Amino acid sequence: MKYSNDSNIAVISTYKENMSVKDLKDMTLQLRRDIIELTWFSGTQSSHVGGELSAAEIMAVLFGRILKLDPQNPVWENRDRVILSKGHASALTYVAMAWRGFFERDVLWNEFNRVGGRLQEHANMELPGIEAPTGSLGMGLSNGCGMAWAAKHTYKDKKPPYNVYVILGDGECTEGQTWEAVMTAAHFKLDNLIAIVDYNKYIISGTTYEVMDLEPFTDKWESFGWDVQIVEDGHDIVQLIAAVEKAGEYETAPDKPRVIIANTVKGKCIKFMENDAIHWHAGHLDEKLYEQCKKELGL
Amino acid sequence: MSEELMYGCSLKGMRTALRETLLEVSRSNEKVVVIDCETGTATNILPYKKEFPGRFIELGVAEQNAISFAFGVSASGYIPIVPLFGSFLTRRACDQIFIQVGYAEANVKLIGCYSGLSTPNTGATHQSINDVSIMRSIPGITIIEACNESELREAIIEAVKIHGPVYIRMIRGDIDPYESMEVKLEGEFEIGKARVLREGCDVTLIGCGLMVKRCLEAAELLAKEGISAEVVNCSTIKPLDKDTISKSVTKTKAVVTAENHSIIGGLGSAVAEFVAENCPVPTKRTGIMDKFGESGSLEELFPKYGLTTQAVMEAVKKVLLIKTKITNK
Repeated sequence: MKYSNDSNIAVISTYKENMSVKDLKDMTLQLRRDIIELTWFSGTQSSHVGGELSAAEIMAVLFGRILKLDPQNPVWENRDRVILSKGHASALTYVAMAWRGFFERDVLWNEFNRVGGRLQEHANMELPGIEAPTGSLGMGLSNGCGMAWAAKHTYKDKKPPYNVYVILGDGECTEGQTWEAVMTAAHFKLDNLIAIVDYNKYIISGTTYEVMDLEPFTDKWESFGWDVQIVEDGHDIVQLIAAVEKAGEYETAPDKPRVIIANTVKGKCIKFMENDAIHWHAGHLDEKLYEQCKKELGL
Repeated sequence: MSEELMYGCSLKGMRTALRETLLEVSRSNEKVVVIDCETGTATNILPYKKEFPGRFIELGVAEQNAISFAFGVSASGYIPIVPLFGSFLTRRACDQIFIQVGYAEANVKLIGCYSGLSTPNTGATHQSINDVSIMRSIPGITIIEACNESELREAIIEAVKIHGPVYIRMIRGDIDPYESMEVKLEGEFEIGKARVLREGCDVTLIGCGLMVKRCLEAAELLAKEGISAEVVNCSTIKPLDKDTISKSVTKTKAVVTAENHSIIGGLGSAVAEFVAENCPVPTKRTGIMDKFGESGSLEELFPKYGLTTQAVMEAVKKVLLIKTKITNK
């Protein structure tokens, strides 16, 4: 079994205030390298790596630039809430949390998919900073609605001091509960709720077009009463920042919940994964593939 | 005072106790909110909306969303109480309860209304006969079934006081005489504590909900036949009060359980599992015998599905025969 002291991955990015686009690009590379390292050092030598790589920029923009968090006090009342509804990609949350300082990096290599470890393949509440147990798909947006409702109820007529962000997979948008929540958010005018869809066009066994077509996706959200922004390239930091910052401004769409549909690529930056996205929804690495991943990430 | 009516039926009993208690706990604790999925008319909680309009959250007919929403609200420091029909709550939203209430150790209070066969005009689709089976199999959820209005009130008050998930099961309790729950209780309700309502030495009757009254009636009738039955009101189904049960069955050496629920997975199963492993004595479970219910009057439903004093007495006779055989060996 491999353990932390076997990992020699370099730290090329750390948190600072006012992260620039260049800083966030470095951070994204760090997250991708850490995802591969985490997968390799996992107790199962696996993770849901394809959908982690597709959402890396989304997570970098949130953890690096947008979210008000206090890693020393994970339950700080005024923190922004972030829920990874596509909970199978929890490894992405873990590397982002480690980067932001919620726990030591050693925890990544020692506790992921290991019996007794807190880093479950699908996140649970045992790890301070995780806002919701997700993994059974379609629940996260309902959690976000509850949190956003609570914030509005607490602060009455004032703007709540925090927003609620929910990252959705496109696959889980085939869950009925997702649309129950979509309806709920509009009904309660939850303009403090921001959903970001990692639209990589792959559900587990094929493309969303083949398996269960989501299109016309934008029209669906709009017809439910949401403010919709499309990010043409969900790996473009500049486009993502613009969309997320705009969504966070009340004036953008008073009384409307916000969704950002980010067009992404499953397995992004690892060519053999991009070219075989079905296989790399969840995949096991062997030594050869691990080395190939590192090479593609400049290691 | 004029009688309250709902669809021509009298509003009293457990439904009224539910409404009054929700108001009571909300007046004293501003963190309490109530979530409804369009069963509020039937469960008689709509008056809550009048007094606490901002704290009555109506989510349409969407139980799964409601449970995950409740988790989100609880994670923000509120105490959501979710009184829905027990059937749709536990069956439709089972995964959400498992993960986001149980696994999350969320401070969510679930109330399964219209449990068991106690509603005449619904049928198998609405009759909640396996809610306890489902909830018992989820780690960490306290399960309570009250035997009368006052116990329901105390159960809700205590559930709000503790941090963590609680499932409370109740019936309408107002369809006389079949749902009568006139049970005299002494002492205070305590989560996890069963109460011995009548002492006896030949057999232990362990019941919950509306079957407690039937156990007491059975004990009274059995006494006339010279059989001394101890009656235990086991209102907390999980965690089971092992001490009280063990003490009683060790004394009587025979046990009969009675519940308005399938005999698979409910109170009877909980008692049988504990007794078999720790203090084995002849055991019989009464309740719904692994069958779907149907719509019809309670007058016909209760005898057909074994929810009567008579059914308890018959089980006692059977269990005592086994006890005698063992003793005579």
